Amino acid sequence: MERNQRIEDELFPFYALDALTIEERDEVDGYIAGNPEAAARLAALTRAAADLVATTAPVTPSPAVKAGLMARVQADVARTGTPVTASTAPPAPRPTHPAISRPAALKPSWRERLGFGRFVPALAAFALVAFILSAAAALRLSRQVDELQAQIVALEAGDDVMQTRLSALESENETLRRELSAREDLLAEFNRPGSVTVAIGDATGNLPGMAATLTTEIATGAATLRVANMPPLEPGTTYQAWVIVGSTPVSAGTFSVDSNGNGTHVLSGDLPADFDAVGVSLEPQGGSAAPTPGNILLLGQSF
Amino acid sequence: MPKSSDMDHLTNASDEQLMARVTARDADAFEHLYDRYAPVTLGIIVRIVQDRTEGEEVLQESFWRVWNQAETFDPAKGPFRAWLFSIARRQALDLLRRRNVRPQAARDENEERQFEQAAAPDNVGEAAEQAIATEQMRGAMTHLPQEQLQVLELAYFGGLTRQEIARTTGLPLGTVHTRARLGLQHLRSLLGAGKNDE
Repeated sequence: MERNQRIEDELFPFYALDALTIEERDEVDGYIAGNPEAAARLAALTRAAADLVATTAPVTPSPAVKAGLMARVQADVARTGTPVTASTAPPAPRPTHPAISRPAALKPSWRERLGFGRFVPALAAFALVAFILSAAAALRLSRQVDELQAQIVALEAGDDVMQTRLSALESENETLRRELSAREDLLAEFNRPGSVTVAIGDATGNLPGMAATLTTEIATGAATLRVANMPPLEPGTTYQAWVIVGSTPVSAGTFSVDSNGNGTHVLSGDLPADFDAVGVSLEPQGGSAAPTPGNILLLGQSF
Repeated sequence: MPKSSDMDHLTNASDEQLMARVTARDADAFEHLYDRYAPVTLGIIVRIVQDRTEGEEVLQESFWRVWNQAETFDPAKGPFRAWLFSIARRQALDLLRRRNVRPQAARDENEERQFEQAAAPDNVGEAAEQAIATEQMRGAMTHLPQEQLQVLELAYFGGLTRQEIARTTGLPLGTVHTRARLGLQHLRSLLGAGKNDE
């Protein structure tokens, strides 16, 4: 039989994968109909496809599925007649011993007197219907259990979401508490006798929690910068304080902050006796000769 | 209720032997086939429809078709399980089409594991053998080139025709043919042709 390379190369794999159109499938069926060798090659590919599919993770069905299915099967068997089965095949007829055979005139049994035989089909049908209804009820209950289980999972998932939100709120609350504490410290500076304190604010517009004060001791002229809620420093960077005279910035030393962004720095260096403003910028480690444009974080007027 | 010797006989019977009895309306043989293949069949269905409850309805309907259309099974065209999986797959894809939903081509492993359960405990030995065979096949699958596996999965689980696969992946149709053919041939060689020719 001539081998059709197009059908075997192009259509056989997709026939095995059950992914052909009806027309294509008919074409393959027609080709293998009189070609047992081709049919064997196709069957081998079909087995491989079945092996591929069989690697899918199994999911054990609920018992109700089987119960419902077998009820339908038993009903079908009852409707269409006695099946040929190992378990239900009628036993071979036993030889009837004349001595124990019941004479025709023998008194009828209570079953016969009650006409029990007439009810057997009805009782069997009733039992079958009851079985089917029970199976259907079991299937329904099984689904309800599945739905409830899904709801529990959803509620548990919801609980996780609430827990996550609570953690976030607690974290936010802690941050606010730290900011409040830092601001209270800064406020205390304003009221300290013998000193003059000015507020220095966020120069970026993006970090409203950040704040600072510059306190100058009237007696000594020593100036102390206190900062709060500054962004943590990246490795290789430092904060640098500046005093500004006119438009000229003069370095007032570098400093770092703690893990909460708080820090204290006594202005140092060759400072002018008087200055117009004070600021803080982010600079490379060691400081810069002039503030890096765009890196000025805090800025405030001197008194 | 079948006798224990009948049970043993049925347990040891091949799929095709059981199907011959199902064709003769043997409910016990049918029940054995159900026990043998229901979990993996439901796995396939759930992988396509993504819903266990609907999957169980499709499973029951698929086996009902096996019972009603047993005489149409032709062992010359492939093994029973391929025929069963094909029925189940079509039922699942039909459900999706009624829902007007594009089938899932494949899910990631974690998603798949959500549905995974232990094998039915009523026949532990058989379940264990099946599990070992499945693991062997999974092991073989890891050796299958990803681009070949993709085409096979799009065709089977995605319900795509070869032309649709070409459009979806942007591959030339000829490449799609080649990858599907090589993928199945590769799988045959990995799993051993001898085993498949049982």
